[in-house]
Amino acid sequence: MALPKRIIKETERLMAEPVPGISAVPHEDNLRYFDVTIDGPSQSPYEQGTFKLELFLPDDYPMTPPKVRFLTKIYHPNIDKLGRICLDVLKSNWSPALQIRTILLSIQALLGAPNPDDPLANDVAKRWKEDQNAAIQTARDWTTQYAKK
Amino acid sequence: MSEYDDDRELYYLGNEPDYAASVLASGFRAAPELDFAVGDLDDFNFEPFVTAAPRGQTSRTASLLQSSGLLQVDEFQRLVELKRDESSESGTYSPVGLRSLEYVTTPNENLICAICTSPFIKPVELNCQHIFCEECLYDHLKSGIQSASLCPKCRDPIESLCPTSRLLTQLLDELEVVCPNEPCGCKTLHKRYTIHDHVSSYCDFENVPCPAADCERFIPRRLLNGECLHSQLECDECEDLMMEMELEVRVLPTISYSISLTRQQDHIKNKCPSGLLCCKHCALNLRRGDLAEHHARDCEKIPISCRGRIIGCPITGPRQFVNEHMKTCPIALMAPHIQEQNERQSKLQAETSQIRSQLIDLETKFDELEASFKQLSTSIKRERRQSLATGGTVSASRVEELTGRLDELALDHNSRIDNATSENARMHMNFVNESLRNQQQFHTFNATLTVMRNQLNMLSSLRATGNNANNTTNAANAVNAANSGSSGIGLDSVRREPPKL
Ligand SMILES: [Zn+2]
Ligand SMILES: [Zn+2]
Ligand SMILES: [Zn+2]
Ligand SMILES: [Zn+2]
Ligand SMILES: [Zn+2]
Ligand SMILES: [Zn+2]
Ligand SMILES: [Zn+2]
Repeated sequence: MALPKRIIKETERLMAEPVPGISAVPHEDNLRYFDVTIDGPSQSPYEQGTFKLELFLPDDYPMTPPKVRFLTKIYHPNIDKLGRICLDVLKSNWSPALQIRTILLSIQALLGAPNPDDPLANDVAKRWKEDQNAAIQTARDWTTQYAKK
Repeated sequence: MSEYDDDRELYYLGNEPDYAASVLASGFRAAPELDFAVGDLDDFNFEPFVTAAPRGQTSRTASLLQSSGLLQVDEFQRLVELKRDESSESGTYSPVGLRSLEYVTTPNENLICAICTSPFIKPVELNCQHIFCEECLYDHLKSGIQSASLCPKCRDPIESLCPTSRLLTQLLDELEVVCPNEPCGCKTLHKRYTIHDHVSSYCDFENVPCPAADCERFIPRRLLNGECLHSQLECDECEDLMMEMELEVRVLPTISYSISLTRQQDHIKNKCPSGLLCCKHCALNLRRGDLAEHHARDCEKIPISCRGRIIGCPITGPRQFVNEHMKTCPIALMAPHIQEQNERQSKLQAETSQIRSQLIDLETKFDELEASFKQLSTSIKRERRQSLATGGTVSASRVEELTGRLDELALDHNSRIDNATSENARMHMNFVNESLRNQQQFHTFNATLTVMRNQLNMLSSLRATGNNANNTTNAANAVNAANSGSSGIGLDSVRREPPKL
């Protein structure tokens, strides 16, 4: 199946005008599969870290959302052990008017604003609520340990 | 996405000669009675000259929309499905995938659909006033995701939809696109609403079915001449080669038209032994089969080296030039002799080693002989002692006999040693003389060679400084001078006879 024009256009734009702190490079043998890196936002426990993700565009993209997963270990109430992300625009709130670039920006924003009230990793969320300072320190430690640039 | 996407047609393509007039008549705002966009779903029963009359009287599907004006979501979906069924049943030949078109300039972003990110194709407007392609909206509504019933742009619930302003469709129609057969060679540009007509009826680079009733292949329109061009043929040039010569113009999108050849052209150009070729050195036209011999013998321009290369002449160049050079090149003249010398030397070396092995052979034989002689004399001595001890049981005649044999053996031994030594000496002498002679000759050649090399260097430097215009004759003179003149080492030594045996 030929690659839809929209995917070609999105890829070209990602290459030509990359978003600061975000890179997405398609695999040569599968142009629907992207290697992604997101820099942790400043003023967040993920500052100074570079996180690897994988992004896959399913056959019916953009009618259905891209599949995105963290590959780098991260301590975050909305990201679980397997790297799965709890983000509404990736699920119930997906719209075909969204793009790879907007999704990655949303994920970067999620790093800057963890939401323990809508958790995916329950133990992390629990600790985040009970002892936020300790949780943030753990997130910092993990960033230094696993997401070193 | 589905194949359907790429096969979509512009339903208003070329169908409406009085298009502009109807735009004016209806004004620039969307109105229920407008006869385009979603409502104009009837591609095939369209009657061109009816714009003056209300469309509803002539078109079944258009009237469906006209009566409702605003469409509810489920009605819209039903209409799109109805249209899909119709076009798949009629099997319309629709070569243009509008969504994959290349636009000549980047279109205004207000003309871009947020779902497919291309200029709208058959736009429809939602109750929230956001606009999407008919197909894109249909796919979104059918996507099965939680937000499928919301506008992709503002997330308002989708309740109804209506045709867009005629101004918008007109702007879209006017967009300039590149012919989709551009990779095959069609370099034409078209307004988007005419591209379907161009490709389906006029484009020279479009593949169309072969006109022969029993042939199912396709050929580019420009090669159409009413005949099937897919038959098997025989090469006129090479009698014994039967080959498949389907006219098979490669029109894959990646290969440009300029390099696409028919198989026949390809055969004659690249394989047929009778095909004419141009020698890349002398530009002579030759049959492919004769090329190798031409290069090996006849070609005057092919680069070769001077025959004197094996002993140091650096001259290379076109055969004609090098042949001329070799007439006067002393090194080239020497080369055969040197080569002969080399051969003779290696022959001598072989002989020497043969003689050496013979010598070793003789030495062993001599040793054996000596050993048996010693053995014999000890046994005689023993026998004599025994005969003395046992009191003369050995007769005098026996002693006599033994002594005689001993003498005989000694004689034989001596003569053999003499023989071997003289043979050996002779061979050795031979060898020494021969190699002496060879050595002498070799030195002679070497000396001559050095002289000539010097001469050559001098000549080249002379030539380089431009003192001599006529270099070949001068070179020859110089060489002659060298041969007869002052530095006569070479010739002198040639005259000197090697010592005879
Ligand atoms: Zn669209
Ligand atoms: Zn909207
Ligand atoms: Zn064309
Ligand atoms: Zn044919
Ligand atoms: Zn041939
Ligand atoms: Zn030639
Ligand atoms: Zn030479």
